[in-house]
Amino acid sequence: MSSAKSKQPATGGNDEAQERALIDRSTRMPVLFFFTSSAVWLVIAAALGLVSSIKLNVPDFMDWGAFLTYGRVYPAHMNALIYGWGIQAGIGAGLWIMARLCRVPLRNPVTLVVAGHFWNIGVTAGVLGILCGKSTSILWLEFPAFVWPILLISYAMITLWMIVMFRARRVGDVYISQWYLLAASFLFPWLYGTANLLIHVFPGSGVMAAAISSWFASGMIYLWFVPVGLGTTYYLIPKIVGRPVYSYNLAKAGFWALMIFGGWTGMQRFMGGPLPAWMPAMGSAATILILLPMLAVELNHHMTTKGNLGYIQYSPTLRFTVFGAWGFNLFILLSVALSFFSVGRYLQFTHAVTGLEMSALYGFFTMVMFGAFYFIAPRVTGCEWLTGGMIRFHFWFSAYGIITLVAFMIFGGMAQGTGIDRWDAAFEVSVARGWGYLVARSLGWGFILLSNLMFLFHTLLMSVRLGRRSSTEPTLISKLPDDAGAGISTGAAKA
Amino acid sequence: MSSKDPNLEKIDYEETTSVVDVHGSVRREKDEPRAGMEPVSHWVVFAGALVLMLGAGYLGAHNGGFDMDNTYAVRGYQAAPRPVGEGAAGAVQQLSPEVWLAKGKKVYNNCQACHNQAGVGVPGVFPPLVGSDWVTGSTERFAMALLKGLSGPIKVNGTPYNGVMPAWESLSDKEIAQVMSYVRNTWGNSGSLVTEAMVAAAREKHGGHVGAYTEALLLEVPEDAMLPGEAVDLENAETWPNLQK
Amino acid sequence: MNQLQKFTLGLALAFGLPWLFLIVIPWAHMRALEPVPYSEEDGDVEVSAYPPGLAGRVRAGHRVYAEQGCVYCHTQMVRPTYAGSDLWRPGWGGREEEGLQRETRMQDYLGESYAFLGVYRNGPDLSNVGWRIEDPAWHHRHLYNPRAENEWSIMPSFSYLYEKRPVEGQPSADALELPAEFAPEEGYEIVPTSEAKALVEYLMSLKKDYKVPVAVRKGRGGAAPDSGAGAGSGAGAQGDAG
Repeated sequence: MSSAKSKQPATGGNDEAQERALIDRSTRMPVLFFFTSSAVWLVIAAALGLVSSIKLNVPDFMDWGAFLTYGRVYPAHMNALIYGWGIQAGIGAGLWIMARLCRVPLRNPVTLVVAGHFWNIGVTAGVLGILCGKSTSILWLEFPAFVWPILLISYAMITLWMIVMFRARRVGDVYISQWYLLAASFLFPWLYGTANLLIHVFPGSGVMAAAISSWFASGMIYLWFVPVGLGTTYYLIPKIVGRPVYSYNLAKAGFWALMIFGGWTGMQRFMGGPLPAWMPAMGSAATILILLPMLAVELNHHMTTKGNLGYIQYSPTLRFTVFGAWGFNLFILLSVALSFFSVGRYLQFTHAVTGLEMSALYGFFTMVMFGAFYFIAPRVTGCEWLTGGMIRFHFWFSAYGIITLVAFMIFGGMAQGTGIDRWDAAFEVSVARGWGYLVARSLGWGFILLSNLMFLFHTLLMSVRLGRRSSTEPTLISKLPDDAGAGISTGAAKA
Repeated sequence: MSSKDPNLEKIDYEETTSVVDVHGSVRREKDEPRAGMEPVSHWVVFAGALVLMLGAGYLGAHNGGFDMDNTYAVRGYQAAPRPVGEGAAGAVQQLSPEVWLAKGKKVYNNCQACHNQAGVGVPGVFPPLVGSDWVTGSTERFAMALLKGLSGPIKVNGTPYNGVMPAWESLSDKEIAQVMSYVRNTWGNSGSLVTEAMVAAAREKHGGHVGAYTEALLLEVPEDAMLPGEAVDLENAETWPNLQK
Repeated sequence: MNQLQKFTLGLALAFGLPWLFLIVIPWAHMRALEPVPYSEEDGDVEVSAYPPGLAGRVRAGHRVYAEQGCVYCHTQMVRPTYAGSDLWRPGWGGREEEGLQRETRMQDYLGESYAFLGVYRNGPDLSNVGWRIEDPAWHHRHLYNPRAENEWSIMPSFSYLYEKRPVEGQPSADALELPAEFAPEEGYEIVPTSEAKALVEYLMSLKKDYKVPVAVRKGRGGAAPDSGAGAGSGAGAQGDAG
């Protein structure tokens, strides 16, 4: 069992390793499917994001008729990012983590892959529909009305198998990630179904429909992306540093606080608007209260990793995940700031909203998903990521890209918003003030596109088993120092 | 597992059905994460209480009574009046002259029954406004005619007319100022714009007059008498003070 | 009750409360909103009920607005003065000179299946653009190429909503009069398609300063929510004849 190359296994023994290998094997088909298709959608979303951003700088850019007008490219980009990349990446990571934590192999992977195909068909039809002029212009629900039942039914399959796995779990303590992933599985159908039924199938007041769409967008963030992202960080961070989560009670309290407050958020997007005042007020108050779960998570991660964050230098998983965890903190703080009328006066309706959304969707969720990909893919493909250089490229371009994007959109929003607030100056002033920041936005998306082209290439290599198989050492972001045996064992560096 | 088999380190799930030979990435893993039970510091509880107070306080201040019909988050809301603007040069202030004239055109609908849509009037009865210095000259004379009406014969551009013009003092100051501005700047006429404040001053001075004016009474006012206020010139943006009061 | 059941119940309660009280019940309540007819005490009003409804072509324009994604740059909500300076900006709140300008209210959007309240203000608010721009030809020129009207504009060009065709005899009454650098060559004219016409009709219909009937304003806890922003017309609050 041991050769000159392999080190002593850090696991509890061969049996446990075998069990894990079995579980990994069972999840391979669906996880690889979701990983690959989501990575493709990420490139599409980034490309559409870049095009839409350049159109804000140079309106006549790619002025090839109706297909690429800004009002269609922008929602196509957002929907590709959310439904094409975000949800599929989350499903892939979630399935694997749930299987591992429940210690049961995934039965019936074919159903999941079929569901995934239907999901992709739905998203493709939706994105093409938007570009062809059938967009509903409803916030985060821009897909033409025939798409949502396809997506809902596909996702219901995922929910079903998450529950089945959970019920079949080995007796023992339930870990916090399982609760988070289970919650996301329940809540997406409820959220998505409600929003679509009350807007498309049983339409009522137009203002209430707008309010429901803002509730839906916020619900997607706090009740799907955040739980899946947090569930993933709660798995990956303690796993890699090899320490238990600091306080489980704190983690549970944070979880329930998120569940209780998350559903009330969203309508503060329309504060000061033609809605009963208590509805945006609830949204603002609930968003402020999300500080509670944020504090819980932050404290737990901080205490869990105390003194052990040196691994960030080497482990791609840890580096991406910790970046994402900081992205989460930033996102929550920004969203709290934007809940007040005094701030909204200047930042409502400005680029700051873009910065906020991107900090959640990319700065937090996507970076955490990258961490999950780097951890999970070797375990389901049987080969390691090809080169550390490609991972480095991916990391730095993504990091620079998202920092540029979020920072310049927040500051750009302030510039634009103070211009709009100058009611006695021409509207032109706000456009002129924001323009430079929009150029930085294009730069940010350019970096992100480059980074993810590399990532897609790398992922595709892995999915066809063209990763590195020359050794069982993990692919690290930077080389271990030569005296590796002394402080850090490879077991700890990447795991 | 034999240490002699060089393929062991390249194990791939495709190549073997045995899960006994397990890939290195799984072997080097640590245990699955588990829960720790550290007690939570009281500072966390304190911070949590602060957050709750912040959230609850915000909700308390802005809930609008939880009333489905109330869209105002501030109790007793009254729209705050527009503050006096700094008004950068060239920036639009309130209504722009174009809009002012367009509105004057609307008010002119009252006048076109007699003076004609093209301002040429009816020969012998209603005088033309085109090229008439009764309207392009003294704004005071013009305002007087509008406010109180005219009766008796009047000579315009050398031609006599004899009709009755009703009093238009029921129109607002703004409407009168708009229609005066319109007449002074259309059909080839050109003259300064008339502001609301100017008409208000005219009304104050002449509003007490009983009955319509006559040509003789109008001629008593000097022909260069302009209503008080800065001259407003269409060409020069810097002369556009508030057209409205 | 096992762990999964307890969890599901807890989750159902946690999410079910906002689902019911923030979404379903208000949705049901607001479905019942209807135009309110004016009464004697409302004084002179130009329409019979608040708000006047959306007619056929305007509905079509609403669809075109959605399909082109106008909502990603333009808002249609005027905020109260504690939330922003929207009301003070000339023309955004409605007809100032008649003292009618005000914030937008729920009923202003009756008749629209989805209210395009908007999320970004890359361009001006459009709630009352029907009052600000009274000439449909301006809208057509602006949609064809925004830079023909405002050189600083970053709005995309909607020239695909227009048709370029050779002039047959007399130029069409609908033909756009464009400045030289945007005009087509000799012998051609630019004419709006029915989509462009529908969109412009929709834009011209965007008027959200109709007097709020006293019947709707009553019982506001003392607040008089629709007093004008005191923009300078002596008339002040709504209720005075224009």
